[in-house]
Amino acid sequence: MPSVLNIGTYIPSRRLTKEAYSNLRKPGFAAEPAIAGYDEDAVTLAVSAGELALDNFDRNKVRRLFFATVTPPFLERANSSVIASALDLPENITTADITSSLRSSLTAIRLACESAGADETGHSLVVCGDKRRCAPETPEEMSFGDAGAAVLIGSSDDGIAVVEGVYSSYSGFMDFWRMDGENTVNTGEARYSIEYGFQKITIKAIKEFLKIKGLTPADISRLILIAPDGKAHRAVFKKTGFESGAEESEELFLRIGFCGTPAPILLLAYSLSGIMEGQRVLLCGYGSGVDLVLLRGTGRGGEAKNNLDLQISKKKPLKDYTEFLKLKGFMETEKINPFTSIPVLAREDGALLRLHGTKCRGCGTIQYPPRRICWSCSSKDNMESIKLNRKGRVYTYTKDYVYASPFPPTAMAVVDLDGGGRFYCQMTDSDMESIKIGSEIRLCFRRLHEGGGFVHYFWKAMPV
Amino acid sequence: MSIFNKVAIIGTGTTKFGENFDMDYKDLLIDACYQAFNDARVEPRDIQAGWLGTYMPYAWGFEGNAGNTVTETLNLAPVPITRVANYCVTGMEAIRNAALAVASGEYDVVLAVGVEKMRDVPSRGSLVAQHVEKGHPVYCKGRTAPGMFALLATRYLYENRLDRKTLSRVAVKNHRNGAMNPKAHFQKEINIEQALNAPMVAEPLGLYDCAPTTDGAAACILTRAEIARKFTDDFAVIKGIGLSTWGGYFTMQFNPEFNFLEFKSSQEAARIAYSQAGIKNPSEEIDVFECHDCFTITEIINYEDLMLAERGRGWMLIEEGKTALEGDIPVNPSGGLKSFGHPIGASGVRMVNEIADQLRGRCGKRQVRNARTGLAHTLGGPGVVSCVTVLERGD
Repeated sequence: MPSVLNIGTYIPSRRLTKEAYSNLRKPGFAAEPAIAGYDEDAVTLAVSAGELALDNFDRNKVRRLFFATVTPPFLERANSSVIASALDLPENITTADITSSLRSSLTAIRLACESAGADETGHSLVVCGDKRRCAPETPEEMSFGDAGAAVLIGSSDDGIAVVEGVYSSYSGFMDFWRMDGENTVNTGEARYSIEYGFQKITIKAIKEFLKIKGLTPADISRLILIAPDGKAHRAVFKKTGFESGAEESEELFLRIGFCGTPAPILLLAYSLSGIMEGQRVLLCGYGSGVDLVLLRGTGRGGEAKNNLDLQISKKKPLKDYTEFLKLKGFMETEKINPFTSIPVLAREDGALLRLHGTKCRGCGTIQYPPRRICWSCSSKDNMESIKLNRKGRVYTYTKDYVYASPFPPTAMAVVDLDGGGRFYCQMTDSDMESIKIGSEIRLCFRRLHEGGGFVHYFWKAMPV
Repeated sequence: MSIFNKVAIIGTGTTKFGENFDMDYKDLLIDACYQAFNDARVEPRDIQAGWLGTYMPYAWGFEGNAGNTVTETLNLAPVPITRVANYCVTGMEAIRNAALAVASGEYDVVLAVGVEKMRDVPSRGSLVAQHVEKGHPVYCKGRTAPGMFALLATRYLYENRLDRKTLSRVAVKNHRNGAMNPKAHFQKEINIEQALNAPMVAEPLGLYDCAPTTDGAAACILTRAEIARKFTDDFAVIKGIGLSTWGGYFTMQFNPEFNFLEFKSSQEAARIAYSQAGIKNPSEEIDVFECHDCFTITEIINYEDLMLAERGRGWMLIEEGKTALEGDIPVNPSGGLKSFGHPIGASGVRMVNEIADQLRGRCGKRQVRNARTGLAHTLGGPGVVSCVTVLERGD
């Protein structure tokens, strides 16, 4: 049986609160959506969550990577390939971008489950991330959150949930859409969309699936369903006969907003601690149809839930609406036009995305960027490739006001990595006052800049 | 065989440094060279070989990227002229190559000239663009020239429990000296409050901790010491000249052996030059210093690397006023890069010229009394290349 081995979540700490929201029609029922950094996108959000899901698992066992999103940075060129490199997954695995619908994360889980039997020991990793934009000053601003999530699926029995069944339906219903070239989401008329889209379509699918499985709501302890507006799920619960789980859905929505493709997985993680061994949950993803995944708990979901709670509790309200506009990329700030070279990037993929350095077989010195001649003992071509540790401490730093950034100054840090090697990079998501010599940091995968017409990803340091 | 006492500098020429918007690269080149020719009492046709130091041919990408720019501008054909570049050491590298060629006996009279026309592009386009828009596609992005040296300032202040005020004292001293130098970019004294309250550039470095972006050129004429008197009685002799390279431009900050408190290239360049010149105790035996104060922290670290102070004690020299014009160890009487300006390829030549002029008693209000031996030091890149020249009055 395919099972969920681990769940990783990533919630950016910034929140758009009512205080910073400029629209005078401030709604009464409004979330505090999580807002990603200016240097984050669906790919980096997915990598951040993927790192957590893979923690303590053998990456060489991952045979498939599926990336679900409605906000892919590259429309042509596989984003999943970038993610697979950043997660340092084996080179000969299946990778795919599964995009365009808000339920694509669950579609990816279904595909992962269906391929779980293909190689008994192999795992599938589903990662998803979204940074959706609606037009400034529209009500959707108070619900569109940014996040990443990841689910590791394998055939082992000692996971956190066992998959007992899947169901899918499709629909071309127009409630959220975005055409090629547009960078904000269009929405249909709210009440019609909710009643004839979200509610009607999910109710039908849930009833259908229960019938096929021969189950009643009484056999399932929770329905995991989050509505784009944070409240329309209640009618679905009512009409399908479910009682438990509706409050959790609302709670999560109010804390981080509706976070695109990661939303149902985040809600699953949020609900996990309440699910006992043997209890069933029905995970529901909506968007251009429905994907359902029936899970049986093993009572081991506590850690994913704890991580998520911690991320939710690290809340930093945005200062003002201008900060929000800059984070979402609606305000132009000073531009740079950095040099790039596709052959250089291709040649150095292992160093730049996988963060592999070299370790001298002669004297043991770890060096980065990778070298052929040791800068300690001068031995030539006597290096082994080594994955750098992602954790370290600040050796020295500066806060640079010259470098162009939407949020100057740019903190630059020289970091001594745990286990050896030194790294020099930008810092991100840091409270400028808290950066000190000796501060603990973690390297995270971020957008560095755009050069030559495409985004360059690299590693930055963030305070632990 | 050492270069000791083999080469003399018989003529110096330095343009006014600053934002010379009315002059182009060639104007700067011509003015510096003709001043040097006149000082040395040579004619352009006497020049047998030349070395041009230009770090970055900014404006067109070609002007100054080969020796021909000198050949064509001064109409020197068919004389052999070579362009050299070694980051901020570029100018002194031109002198070093010229000096070695003279010492070899191949030439009698040669030209070393450094020119940098930085302000034909916006100041953000000249130096900052180097790091922001050029270089490796992702390594070191976010690094700027001030940001690179700020990393040392942060660590140095932390290790020695100091604050920004110590750095500001270097700026105040060099501005005071620059105010006495009619060719300096800045000829204005500042006080410590101005330095401390100036806008931040890269913490802990503020505006006055940084050298400006400047246009300028400097040239000198070198000859064999034994024939110097055929041209003039007023000359300086090279006692030692050492160059050292250590580490890489884009990898220096990744190297765990770099402690961000010292520049090994400076230490080694000084060791070579002192050994050639027979100098055991530089602060006693050398009367005047020009060192590479691209940023205030660099000057303090130079004190230690040039062995004017023990490791971790360089800051005391500035606190105690020892490196002031009237102090025991006068450093940067010209105003340094801080006030004189830093047209990169020109600076190394300008510093050697300043020392030669100090030894010849030509420095007016900023003259160090009875200077007989002097030292010029440049440092390049993130501290990965350094050159030290020791000169003595010729007599």
